[in-house]
Amino acid sequence: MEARGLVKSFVTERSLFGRVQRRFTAVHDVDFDLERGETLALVGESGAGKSTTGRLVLRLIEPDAGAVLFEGRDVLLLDKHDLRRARQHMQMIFQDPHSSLDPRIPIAEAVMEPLKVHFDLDHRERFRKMATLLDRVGLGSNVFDRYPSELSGGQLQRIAIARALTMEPKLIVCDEPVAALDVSVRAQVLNLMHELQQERDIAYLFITHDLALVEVLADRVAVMKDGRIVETGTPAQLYRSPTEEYTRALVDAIPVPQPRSVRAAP
Amino acid sequence: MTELLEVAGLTVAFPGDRGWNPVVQDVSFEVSAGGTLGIVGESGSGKTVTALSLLGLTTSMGAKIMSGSVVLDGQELVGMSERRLNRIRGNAAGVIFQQPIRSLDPAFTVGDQIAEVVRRHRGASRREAWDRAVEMLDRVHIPEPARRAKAYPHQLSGGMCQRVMISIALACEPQLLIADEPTTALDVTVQSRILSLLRELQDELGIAIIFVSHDLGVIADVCQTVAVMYAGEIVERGTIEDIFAHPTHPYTEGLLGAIPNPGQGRLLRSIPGNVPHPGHMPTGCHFHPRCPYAVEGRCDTEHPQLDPVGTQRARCVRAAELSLTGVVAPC
Repeated sequence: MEARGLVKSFVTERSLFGRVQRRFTAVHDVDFDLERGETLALVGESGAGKSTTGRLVLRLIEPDAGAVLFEGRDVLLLDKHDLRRARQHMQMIFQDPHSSLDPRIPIAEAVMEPLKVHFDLDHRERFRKMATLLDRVGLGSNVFDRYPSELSGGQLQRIAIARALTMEPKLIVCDEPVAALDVSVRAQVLNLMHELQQERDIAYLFITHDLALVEVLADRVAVMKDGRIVETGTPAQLYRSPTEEYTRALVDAIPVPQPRSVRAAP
Repeated sequence: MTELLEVAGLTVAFPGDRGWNPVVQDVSFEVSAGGTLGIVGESGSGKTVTALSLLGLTTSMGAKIMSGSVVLDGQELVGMSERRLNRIRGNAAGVIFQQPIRSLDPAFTVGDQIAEVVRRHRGASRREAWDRAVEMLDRVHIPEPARRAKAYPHQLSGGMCQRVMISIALACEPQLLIADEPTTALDVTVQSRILSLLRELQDELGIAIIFVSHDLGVIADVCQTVAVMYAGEIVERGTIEDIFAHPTHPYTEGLLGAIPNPGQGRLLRSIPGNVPHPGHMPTGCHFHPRCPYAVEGRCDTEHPQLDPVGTQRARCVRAAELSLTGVVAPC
């Protein structure tokens, strides 16, 4: 996947007659590449334009300018029908698993739904596929008939992952997938995502505000500030020798898992 | 040293299908004046219920304190009337919550909300209370405090709102601040600024802090002592240095392993499984189904007590024989 010169601005103020008075540019001339099976982390503070970039890549919102090439084809030029087919291979996982699943639909249904829409399978095959996927993310048949409200955040995020996998995606845009989870559960989910990537050669665009998380998954990191990518590198490079002051601030903000007294000692 | 807060045998229950389900069980700890205690655990471990029950804030959620005592500065709070508790809340003890924007009233300016606390508890005049509000906003490093006092919560960022919450909590110079996951909803950079603000206020004002979080890395930044909670009980207690260098409960080891520590390589250690639901507690040690060191015939039958192990206390029958891994200090 390649993103070229992506630009997106939002109207923040209109005159009485609807004429645009003020615009806010959320994403400003953003370029990056993502290889098959690779993870690129987009890191920055709230408002840096990371999530907007993620949505532009999947064309959930339309950019003002730029191109998104997915396997050589410009996603932005596809018509409705082709876009729908292309989207099978491009999935998204959101921050809040409670709001990305329908509270009235039991888990097994929710995971089978995309199979119904995109594939011509009979019920038994769908069921088998669903059970295999849930098993792969570490959930058993005891969750099939449960509703999202009965499950924990970590379990729901596994379900969201299983649901994304039904389409056998080549790219998953993950928007802060573990920000709402406990530290211990966070580790489970990140490790699972890493294993799935190894198995299935999925590329991740991993959006996060927390630089501490990128080392587990990311091959490369792009640091965003005010809608622009200000620095790129491997996680190790950025931790050790960030060139931008902004990146350094992000690195310094990672809580050091050590008591203060121990850290102060030489 | 006399303790500012003494909690003994606190048990809090919520109504379940069949009677009351204890969510917090037999929790005891002390906080000295100016001291800091971190309460750490996963969602569902009972850490927030513990912290909020200290000031009777869980009764409105349907909870009931079944037994135990909470003594703040010589006063027993369990069984105290709402009226008298209200005089303590925001006055002798302040609270800040996880969602700063939701905790503020959208219909009033932040200055009004700080001033209200001062007027209520200190009987200050409008003028004095407003001046105090501006002073507090300045104290928590909000730029242009006189102008910001006239802002409404939606006009401020999450980090700013948390600073406002802190100024409300501290406006009446309490001796104790209860902080329930105050930085979980914030960006990492904002989190680090809020943590350093809390440390600064603690140094300068000498307030005691109870800091609740699921992240031991964050707790290490603010607290001197830690209580690790699992399934409603404290499973380990000790100083932050001891807990990090040599945990004595397998659950603490698991929590430490899950903290991302840049430069340590790719995979994180994780704790398999989930926190058990109240009412469906496993037999024996509550943690044994998830514990890599559990021994059949012992851990699944014996319910361990919080016994001393070296300078710490741990609720594990094998605590003395295990040698667990902490976080190695960087050289």
